[in-house]
Amino acid sequence: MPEVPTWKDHFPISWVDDHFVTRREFTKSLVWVSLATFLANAVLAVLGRLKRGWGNETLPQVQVATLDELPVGGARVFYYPGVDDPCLLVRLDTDRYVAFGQKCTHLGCPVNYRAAARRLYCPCHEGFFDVEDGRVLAGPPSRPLPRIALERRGAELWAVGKA
Amino acid sequence: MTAERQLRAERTQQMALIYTVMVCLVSLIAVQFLLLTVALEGYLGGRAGVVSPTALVSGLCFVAACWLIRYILRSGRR
Repeated sequence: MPEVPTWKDHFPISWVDDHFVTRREFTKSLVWVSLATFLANAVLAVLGRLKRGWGNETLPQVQVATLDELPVGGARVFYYPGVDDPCLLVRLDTDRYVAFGQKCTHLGCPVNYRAAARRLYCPCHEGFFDVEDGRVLAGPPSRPLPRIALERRGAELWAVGKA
Repeated sequence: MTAERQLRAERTQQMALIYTVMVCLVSLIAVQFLLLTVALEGYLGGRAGVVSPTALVSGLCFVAACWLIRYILRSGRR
């Protein structure tokens, strides 16, 4: 019979026995996973409710352009309601302007305006949106672009909220 | 039935119970993960209305998991 080394006598720890998990223990741990998942979902629900509360606050009114600043078919970026929220203002006709959030609803890439096709285009994953109402025409996005409400005040265009 | 046979039969029953509960729990957790992804998608996409119902259903799944684990705890005590 082989002699047991001295260190084994001093440290009688078996990794296999130490890390052994019974089926019963594993099943119990599944309940903790279930609790953690529920808590994560509950936190999102609370945050969502708070976010909706913030959404009810009145948005600022910001001047975004003057009427003749953009040529017909032209577009420019402005920030609304905050400095981290890029939006795209598009002049469709002599007296028709539209504005949308510039972040693609798929993964947040900035969309561009393609005047020839009259579409908003996301170059990251080939997403296309209708410039008239922001609805999805093609590609992976599943939601329309958020529209910004515009108001004409004399010779100026103002962003006054979300449509 | 001898005591040994009865013991073996009880053990087989317990194992069947544990496996059944385990499968049910894994299914419930899979549903909860699915709900969590839906909630996250809704939250990030600005559709916060879907988050509360998913949290509610996830809570129900957790209650069901607690109800199932009772069997394991009870058989362990025996």
